[in-house]
Amino acid sequence: MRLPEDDLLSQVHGGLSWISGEGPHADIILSTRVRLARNLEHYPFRETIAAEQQEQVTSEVLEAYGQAGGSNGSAAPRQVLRLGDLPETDLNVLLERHLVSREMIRFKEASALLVGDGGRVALLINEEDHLRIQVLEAGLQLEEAWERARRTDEDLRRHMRFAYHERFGFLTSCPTNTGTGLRASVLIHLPGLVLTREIHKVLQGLAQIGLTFRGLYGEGSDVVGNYFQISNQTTLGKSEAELVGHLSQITRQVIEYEENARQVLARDALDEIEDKVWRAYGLLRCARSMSTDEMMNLLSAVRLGVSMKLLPDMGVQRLNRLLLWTQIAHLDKRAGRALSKRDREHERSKLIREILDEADNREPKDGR
Amino acid sequence: MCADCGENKATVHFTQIVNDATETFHLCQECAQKRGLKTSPVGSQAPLSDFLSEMGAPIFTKATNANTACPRCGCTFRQFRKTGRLGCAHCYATFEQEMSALLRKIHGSNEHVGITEDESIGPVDESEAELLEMRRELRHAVEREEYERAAELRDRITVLEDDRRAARAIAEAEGVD
Repeated sequence: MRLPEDDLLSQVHGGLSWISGEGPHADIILSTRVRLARNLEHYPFRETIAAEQQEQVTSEVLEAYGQAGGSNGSAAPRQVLRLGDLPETDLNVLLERHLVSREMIRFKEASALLVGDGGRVALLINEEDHLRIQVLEAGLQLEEAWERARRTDEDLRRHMRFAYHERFGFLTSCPTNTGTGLRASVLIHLPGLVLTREIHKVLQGLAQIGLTFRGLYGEGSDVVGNYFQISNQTTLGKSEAELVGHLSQITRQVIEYEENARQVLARDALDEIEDKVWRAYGLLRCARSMSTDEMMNLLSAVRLGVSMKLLPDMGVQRLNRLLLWTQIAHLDKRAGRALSKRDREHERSKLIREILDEADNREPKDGR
Repeated sequence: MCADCGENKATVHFTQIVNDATETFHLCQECAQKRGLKTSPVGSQAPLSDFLSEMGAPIFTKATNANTACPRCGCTFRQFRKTGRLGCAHCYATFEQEMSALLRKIHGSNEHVGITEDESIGPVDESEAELLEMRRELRHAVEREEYERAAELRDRITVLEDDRRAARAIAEAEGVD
């Protein structure tokens, strides 16, 4: 699906399939991600690799993916971006889309990104590991994302050899990824558990069963707007299917907790919740300046309100667009320049109003 | 009910998995802490370098010391402990015993059971096929708690792995890969 604002960003398109909001549980789970860490046999890891070897790694991966194309959707458009050639705003747009990591931007001269399979598969080249195969899906689709990653990995392995140890499995730069190299995660919105103060119990529980959580933008990022990334902590000693299955099962449980918390809120504090979500909606509708943090918190309340049917149904896709399009780099990219904080906060409020207006005036055909 | 004190409600359910053997404990918060279980997720977020330095000296075996360098990339175990990143794939072989212990600490296991490098890629050589089959058997033996059979299989796997490593080293030395 092509979105109007995305024309502005055509240079860095891809990685947006999750925005559609068309996956299961998409009101609570924004996106599902599965990534596999791989290193090429015969090349040193990032700590000791030379620049020209990194170039070779890039060409070997691109060539292998090109040869493998037949079975993983060669007809779908694909795009290769050399991060060293991109302006900073574009790099940050990719970061906000979870298509590159901070680590890759730090070492951008050597890094490349390939987006294929309709934006669902990304190959992150010369990251902490030579290659990270990453699949992003809308809503809760862990098994599907894993299957897509598995196929991509298998296709690549027909044309290249990865560093592998008979006992330890796939070898990675950091031993926390060794074995399967698999990190599966879901980006989940848990305002009900935060409001009922049950969230700490849930997060503590996760830590005890081999899962870990982080904020919206990965390691070390703050939890803003009640978005959490839940992922597997360990990568060795369990098969990929077990790791993915476990996360899937626990995620379903967390969704159930969240739904229960929302029922408790509706039962015991309906007036307060109604007031909270309508106030948030009112501010987003009317404000003439909006900081990122304020927007994230208000949007969280609105998302909750829509999901609890307290606010008009504007469609998950719009909520997702509101969240992504109003991030700093996306606003700068849209404006075509690096905005001052003051201008950006103004532009952000304007874009939010536009998207909400569009929700009010939509044609019945739109179906959302 | 807590398995340790038998008084409080068990709120911490803890399953310990070492390789394929599992053991589950049901404890109250207090007794869990007494056992040294970290019930706060913050503990698990500590960077690897902290984790490594916390582990201190015992990780070194007689075979290697902190200044032993990987013959391929020159990375020493001391460097690895500082950065938390290995220099190359061969470091895993150079520091095999240390990595084996470390991986077990991090993941609760040091045996990969997922997709193998040649899985679903068509024909594999004979010894490799045999190795794959034996690993599968080993997993089943552990599942069925047939430990004697498992130990026997493990020994055979080790021998076969050593043979393959030696064969590969020779092939590499001759420039054939």
